[in-house]
Amino acid sequence: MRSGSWLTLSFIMGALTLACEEPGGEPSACDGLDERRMAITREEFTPCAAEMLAALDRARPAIERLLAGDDEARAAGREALRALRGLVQKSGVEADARSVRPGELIVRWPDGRMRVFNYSVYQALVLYGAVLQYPNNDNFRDAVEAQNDAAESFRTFR
Amino acid sequence: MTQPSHSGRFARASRTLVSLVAFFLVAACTAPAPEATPFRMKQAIPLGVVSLTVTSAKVVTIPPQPLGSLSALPGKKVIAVFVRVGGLKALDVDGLGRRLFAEKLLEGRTTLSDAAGSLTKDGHAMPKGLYYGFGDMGGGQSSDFVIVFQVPKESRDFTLLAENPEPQEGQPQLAAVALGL
Repeated sequence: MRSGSWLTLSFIMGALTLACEEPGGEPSACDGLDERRMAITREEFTPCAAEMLAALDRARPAIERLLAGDDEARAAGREALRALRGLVQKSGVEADARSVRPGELIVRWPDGRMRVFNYSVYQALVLYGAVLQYPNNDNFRDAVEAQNDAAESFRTFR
Repeated sequence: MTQPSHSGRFARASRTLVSLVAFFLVAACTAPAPEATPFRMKQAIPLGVVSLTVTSAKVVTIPPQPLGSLSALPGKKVIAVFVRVGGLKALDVDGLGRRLFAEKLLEGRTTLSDAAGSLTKDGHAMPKGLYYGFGDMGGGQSSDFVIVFQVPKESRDFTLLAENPEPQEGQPQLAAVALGL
């Protein structure tokens, strides 16, 4: 199989793995945002976004160790991503990513910087998930880039 | 008379079961439509954190230049509904963000109904300045917008329906404004 096809397959497997996992159930600043339909503000979203970034910060070193051959780091990486996915679900960002109605997305998140943040976090989540499934440097590099984009967007709107 | 075979009975029972499950799913998932609260022209309708005021409406006979795309399609006529969206500045986003928000809110949540009860969704919203061919005057600062609908030529007695995406206490879920056209 060509390298490009393999990477695509691992990306899809990562997304499927995430889709089958249960979201984290702990209370968080993201609770209830998925029920909002209009004009989520910076004040409302910043604490939730900070929790998402913290989960990404926990996931990255564990996945980096996994890539370096430390198989025991897989559990820590999976746990951090499970927590992140819970936040992404509670905030409605996962539903937004799957939505085919971009107009509603804009009404929910009028601030474009928050939309960029959400997109970047979701990309990082899926790509790190792909690395957990099939450790590879290409997906990891893209995940790190998406994580950096998320952190950069966060700095502009918090 | 031939007795139905075991597999035939099974197939019929399966079809009945599937139909019943489908019926109950549809019944459970179909929420009754909310009753529309009537509002007058020039009366502010609260929609979550913003408000919507219908200022006027008209049948567009000669579309303003250079927007020839507003010409009526075959068998249709064009209705332009002029509205003001209040409270946009409270969103704490830049001018273009406010414009995009207002356009998507209007396009996604307004519907035109006629005397026969037919509904026309898919309105196209734009700043009033753009409608008149002057561009977006004020870089997205304006609160005045136009929603353009293509409706069947013979339709009449139009009412604008505005759905509230996030009703706050005391706000209508659905508002109706008779346009007098």
